[in-house]
Amino acid sequence: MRYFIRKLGIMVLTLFIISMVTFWLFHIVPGDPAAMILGTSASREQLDNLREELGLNRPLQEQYVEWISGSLHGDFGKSIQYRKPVAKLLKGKLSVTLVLGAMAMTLVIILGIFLGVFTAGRKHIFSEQILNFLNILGISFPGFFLSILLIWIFGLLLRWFNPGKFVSFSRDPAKFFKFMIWPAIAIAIPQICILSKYIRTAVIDEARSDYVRTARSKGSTKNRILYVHVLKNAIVSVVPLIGMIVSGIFSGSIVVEQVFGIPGIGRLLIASVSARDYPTVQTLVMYIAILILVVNFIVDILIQILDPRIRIAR
Amino acid sequence: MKKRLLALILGTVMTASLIAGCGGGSAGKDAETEEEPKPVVEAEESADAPQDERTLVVHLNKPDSGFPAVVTSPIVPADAEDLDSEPIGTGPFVLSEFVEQDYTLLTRNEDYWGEPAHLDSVTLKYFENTASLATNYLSGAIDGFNSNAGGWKELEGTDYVQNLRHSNAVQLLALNNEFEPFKDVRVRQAVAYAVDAEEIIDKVSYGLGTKAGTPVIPGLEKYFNDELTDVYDVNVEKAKELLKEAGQENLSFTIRVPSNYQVHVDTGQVIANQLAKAGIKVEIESVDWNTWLNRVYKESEFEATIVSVDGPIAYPTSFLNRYVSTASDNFVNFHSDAFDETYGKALLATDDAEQVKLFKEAQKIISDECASVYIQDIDSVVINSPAFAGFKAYPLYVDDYSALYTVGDDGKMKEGGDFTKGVFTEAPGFDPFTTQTADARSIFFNIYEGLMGTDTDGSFIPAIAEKCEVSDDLQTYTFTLREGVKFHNGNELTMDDVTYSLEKSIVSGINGFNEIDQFSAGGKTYSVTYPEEK
Repeated sequence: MRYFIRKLGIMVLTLFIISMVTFWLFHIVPGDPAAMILGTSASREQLDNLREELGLNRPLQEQYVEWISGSLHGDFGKSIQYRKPVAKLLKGKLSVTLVLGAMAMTLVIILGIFLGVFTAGRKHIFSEQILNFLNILGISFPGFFLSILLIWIFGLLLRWFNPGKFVSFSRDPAKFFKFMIWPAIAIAIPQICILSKYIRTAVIDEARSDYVRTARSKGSTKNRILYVHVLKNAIVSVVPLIGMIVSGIFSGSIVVEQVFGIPGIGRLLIASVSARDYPTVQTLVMYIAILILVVNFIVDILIQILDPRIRIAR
Repeated sequence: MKKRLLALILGTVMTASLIAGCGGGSAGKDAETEEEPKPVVEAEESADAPQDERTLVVHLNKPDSGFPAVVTSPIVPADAEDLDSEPIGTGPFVLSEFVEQDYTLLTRNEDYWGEPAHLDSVTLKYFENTASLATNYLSGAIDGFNSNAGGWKELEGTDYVQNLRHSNAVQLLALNNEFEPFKDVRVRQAVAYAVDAEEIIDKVSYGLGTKAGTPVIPGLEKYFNDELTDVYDVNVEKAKELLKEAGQENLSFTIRVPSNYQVHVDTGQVIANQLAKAGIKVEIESVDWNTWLNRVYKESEFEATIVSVDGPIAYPTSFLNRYVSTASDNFVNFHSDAFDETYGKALLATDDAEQVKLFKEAQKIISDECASVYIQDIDSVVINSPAFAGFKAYPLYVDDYSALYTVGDDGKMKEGGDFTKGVFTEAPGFDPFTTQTADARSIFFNIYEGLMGTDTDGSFIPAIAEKCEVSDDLQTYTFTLREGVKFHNGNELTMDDVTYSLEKSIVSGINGFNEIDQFSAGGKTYSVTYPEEK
């Protein structure tokens, strides 16, 4: 219990520091959102007036305190770029990114585990080399490049999907998933490679354990040993990786959303940064930070529950 | 010299009585913050005002034959609550949906007073970068796009219709006249002589551009001074000579270019090479658009820059006003008493021919003084699929979707159809009184209408007003409202909406509304008081 509370305290403190750093950082970057709204036909008076109206002329501390106390009450302020409440702006976008993330996560877990175990079972030097090579390739391909590759091969050459035609879920769910599977693949590939590599190592390590020898001597089949006994223990050792994978998926989706033209929070984040839309950027960064911290928190707790050895060691 | 763009305020707009009552403060704001004064409109009952519901009389504080351009500003319902997200106009298209970072959906206004649009709907699909537009056209995701910087080159060998129009913005190598070397007119001229506009048009715009020579767009034929186009034709020897005279043989400066506009970045490279031939050393610094707007445009923190400057209305003031010494948007810091005087005279001229002459003379002063180097009006290449026709070009930075139609199998016009256009900017909001970006105005052109409208040749045609009469002294304009005009919300347009919108335009300062003394309609007279000049 004490451990739980301490972790929670650290999480809140981290969030607070992140909120402060993002706030100050974005205000150091040169640029003026009012100028973006008004464009080149604006006079300086118009600019000053708009700055005043947007509350950009007030001292930074004041703006920060107002924002933080607002967010605690669920009021994230008003987007400067779109002049509507940030919460309203995020409503449609957050679900798109979460669905994309969930699809990618599903792919990562299913394929990562399967490939990890599958390759662990095959220890021929030649196939191991090839698998290793493909793995490294997958990990090192940047997301945007994978996206472009997928668009080119499956969109333009094979015409399996139309790269520019994102359709929202509410308009046509079937088309929505048919489109989203491609960016999900682009986000998932590097993570699948990472997870399968870890699973493979863990499975090989576990396979050397005594209980495997026992099971084998009891006459269990190779696959039964691999997928039932070994995998169960191997997964426990890769649980800490989940936190990393989740953050990998979210940072991946920021880039991939750009390339596929998906109106999720990744794309909104980039657009808000270039428009110097402070309230939106801050809220988005906080959302992402909370999400990742919560996942890591859950992972920490999970490890405690799953692996009694860690609990005892403490 | 009267400042054309007076101190203006954006945002909250109040009723006449409220404005009259508080004279400057706007609701909900910190009372201690210093505010820019704004025009005040006061209404009172008047027996002299037209008593019927269809006549509007506007009296100007000086003669102006260009006033119809000003009243192209939108007419909105007096009870509209949130134009930003729910725009209500009278135009041929209704804004049905706007999803940020995704698309804007315009559908046909079935109750349009004029000839309704042919298409059922127009979707403006947003893409992050210009490069992906051609790809998406090829994949069939979009039916058309505006191609700048040669994006259409990628389509060669495929089926497409290429429409050309002026972008109605003049690309210039803006020289900060306050930058020490540029204080000497000879140095500015030397730079102008070293720049070869034709090579830029050739290399950067693939030959699709019109040489300018003046800040006024060539598309504004009546006012464009075409004698200035070739004044600074490339002459490297002359450039060197002028630099020598000015003692600036080792001239070097930095051109700060906005990185999001590939065409300006490319132009910068070409110019750097051209200037090198005259011994001028140029460094190019690329900054993002926000930094550009803030530091270069707003604070004039630059030595030279490259940008295209557009205007909100098809009238020379849109392009010339910023060269007035006291103009707040005079970002090149140009100061010329001769220009101020001639331009001032042009504004006051009552005779049309005389006014045109003065506007041209004012341009000549800018050219003689070489305020900056005016390169070209870059052609906008509007790509459409052959399945659509009816493209119309205007001397404004707008896309008119009402004229567009579907081409049937027999090659003739077919009513209905959905057109998807790829765009790389979106309107941040739809309130025409606060959002002033060029791309937003292009959408507004289809949603909103003014008393007068702009025609393809740049002339002003009746829109919500069916008739416009002007007195001989060019100071009194009488508009007769069209009957049966309906807003997108189904309500009939009334004189209240018109007076409300005029007030809103005056207070927010769009289109240069600073010459209305008073206007009267429906038994009331509204007098306008502008803030004192600082």
